Amino acid sequence: MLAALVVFVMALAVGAYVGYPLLFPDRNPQENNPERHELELRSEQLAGALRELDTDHSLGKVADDDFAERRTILARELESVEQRLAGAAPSDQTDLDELAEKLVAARRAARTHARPGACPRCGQSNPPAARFCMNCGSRLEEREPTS
Amino acid sequence: MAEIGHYSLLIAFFLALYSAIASFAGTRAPELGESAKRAALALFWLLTIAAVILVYLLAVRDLTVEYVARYTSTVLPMSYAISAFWAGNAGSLLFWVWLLSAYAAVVVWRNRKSPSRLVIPALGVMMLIAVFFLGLILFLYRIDPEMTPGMVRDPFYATLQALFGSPEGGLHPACNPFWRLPFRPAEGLGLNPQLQNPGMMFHPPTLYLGYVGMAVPYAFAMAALLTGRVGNEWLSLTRRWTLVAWFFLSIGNILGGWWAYVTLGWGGYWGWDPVENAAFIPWLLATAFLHSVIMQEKRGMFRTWNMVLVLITFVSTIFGTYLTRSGVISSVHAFARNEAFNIAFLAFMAVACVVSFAFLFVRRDQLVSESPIESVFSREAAFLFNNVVLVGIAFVVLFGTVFPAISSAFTGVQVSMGPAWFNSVLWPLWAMLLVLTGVGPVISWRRARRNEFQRGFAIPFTLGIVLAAGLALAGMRNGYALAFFAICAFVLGTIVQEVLRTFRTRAATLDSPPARKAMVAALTANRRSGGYIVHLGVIIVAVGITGSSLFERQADLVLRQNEVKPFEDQAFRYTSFRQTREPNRDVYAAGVEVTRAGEVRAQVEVVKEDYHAEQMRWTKARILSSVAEDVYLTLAAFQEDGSAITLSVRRIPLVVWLWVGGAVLVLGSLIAMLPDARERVRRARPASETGER
Repeated sequence: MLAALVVFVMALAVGAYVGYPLLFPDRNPQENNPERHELELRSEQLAGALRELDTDHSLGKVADDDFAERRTILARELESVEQRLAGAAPSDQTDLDELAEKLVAARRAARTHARPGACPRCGQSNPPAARFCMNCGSRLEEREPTS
Repeated sequence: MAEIGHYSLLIAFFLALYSAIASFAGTRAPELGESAKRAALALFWLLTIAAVILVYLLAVRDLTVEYVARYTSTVLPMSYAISAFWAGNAGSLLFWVWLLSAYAAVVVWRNRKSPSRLVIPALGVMMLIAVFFLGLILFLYRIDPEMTPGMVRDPFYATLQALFGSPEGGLHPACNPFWRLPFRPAEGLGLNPQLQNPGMMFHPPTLYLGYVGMAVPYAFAMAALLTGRVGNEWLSLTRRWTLVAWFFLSIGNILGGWWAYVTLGWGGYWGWDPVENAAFIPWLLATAFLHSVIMQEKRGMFRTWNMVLVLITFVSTIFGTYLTRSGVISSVHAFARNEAFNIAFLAFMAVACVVSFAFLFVRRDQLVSESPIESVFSREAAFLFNNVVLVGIAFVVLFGTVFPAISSAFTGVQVSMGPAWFNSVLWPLWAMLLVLTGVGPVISWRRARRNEFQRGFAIPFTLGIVLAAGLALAGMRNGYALAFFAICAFVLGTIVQEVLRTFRTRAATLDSPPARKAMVAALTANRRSGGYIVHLGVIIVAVGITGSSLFERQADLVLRQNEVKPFEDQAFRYTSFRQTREPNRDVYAAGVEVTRAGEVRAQVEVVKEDYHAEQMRWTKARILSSVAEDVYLTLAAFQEDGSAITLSVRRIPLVVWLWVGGAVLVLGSLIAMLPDARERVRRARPASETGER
């Protein structure tokens, strides 16, 4: 009997606790803007990635051209995130992920269109690591001006 | 008391169900989301009540409760009576779901101020998992011919009996820890003596913390797939959770090995037993995930692969729980004996797989890599190889674990895949993995340049060759050992070189006072240094495994009282015999004196124990440890009158380093969990300040 009572009180307490936000929706904690939180998270992530990139570069593990490219991408995104955090660009409904996706798509497009291995003589596109054109055999430009 | 426990589980079941539904609906209606969070917190408290009640019942040995009667006895020491919580299926499942609710509560609590839009759907996924486990505890039955409806006093079960009882017998819950027997047995069955060891108090809980912890990254990954927010957000929300789970899985595996080594008395720490493998597979997959995360964070690659890894890691933890709890591998007949349990688990795994991969397929377009791998000699490729090897090892282990069961189910012949099979298949993979541990952190991104090999690998490579040559000159003829020790030296060389270089460059760029530079450099890159420390731990573990598995020697010495027999450079004298009766066991102990070069090294007692209630005989090992080698002594046999004994002596080199390396590895993962400097600054800065800028 005592057990039944305890169980009943328990169920009642749980019901009240869980139902409270539904019964009194106006008393719910005002949520911080989730978008803001996401931006903060992303900026933290980007800052970390930049720091790591710098460390890797200073240790000689990232080639200079690669470093410049990565750094520009990351810094540009960080800048836009920081701007949005500071409220410079009022929430224009562009989702952060969408933004990232756009950047990625742009980069991918740039890769395919710029045709990095294009032969200066015949125009044949070559794999990125190729040193000589696969069509006419002429020397391709060294694309790595690093040590 | 048991009734309160039972009904709190029942309330918890419906609460978890509500929380799951409200979470998924809560992405649109914020009140529902808020309510779902409260339900998750309430779930944790309800399950805590249930867990405390079970501990209480075990502590007071309420033998009318079936679970208590089955796993304890009145003479069992208190600490083991309480650790019987996770000795059987019913208790383990309760423990599992309680841990899950604890993780969910922590997720809610940590995100209370700045909620990500992924938290509530992730909560929903965790609640669905909780619904499954609670359903298993509450609603899974077997037909028990000895049961009659009149035996059930609980109204909930009485109703179920009336609805689903069959002429062959009553319904007996398959894994409810609060089920009451209709009578009070005079004595409980007691705990298996193998489990009566301090390891029992720590090994299963840490392993379960690891298993269940992997549900959090899985839940966030699923939330990302569900909501379509598959960017890097879920990764940064879950990296630390994965590390937490990995940390506990590592401790669990190492403790398991240590427990086996210290108590099982066969002188080994790893037998490729299905239950061990079940804990090892998630560890391997989680390790692969922790590495491939870096690729997505730094280069935007491996995005689909990361999802796949989280999904299969989670499924492997469920599979591990299932293997451990069902006993289906040790004997396929266990399947039929507990059919409903098996089908439920297999169905859950199948549903989890199908649903997860279906969502993954739907979102595949959003998960394309930013850039391809350009060269085989690059950091990207090293990460890819690392992942391939780790997942490869996991699949080899999985194959070796399930193959005997599958083959005996189809052919009726039990084929066993012993340690020899595992070792011979896996050693090349281990060697590759170790080499990659050295190569990965050093090699350049995108493509390695020629001079880099000289700069990065010349010294470590020479170190490896020199060590191998030195060992060969010193008389070591085992090719495997030479190769592995050489690789270990190579990797150690790369780690030391990397750490020195990192400190030097970081110290040069920091503007702290010179005296503090080294400290600051060390403390501001926790993730990096944590990784190096974990790698160092792996190397030390590899040294321990190589030494102990390739150079063990063993002898059985038959000794009369006061007789001395030598084994290599040590001599063993049988000095005394004693037999004592304790409440739950008889103890036979033989005193042995170990001497080296005429000096007494140690006086030890080797012991055999007969457990009464459990009717088992148990051999306890005595281990003399040193940096170079362990001397592992067991009482293999004895004359009842104590006139003679057979002493089994094993000499196991370098095994201590396995535990040392394990500790280093665990320490490294703790350091990797600490927040980095910038993150700390950001956390410390109040929100208002950031808003004013």
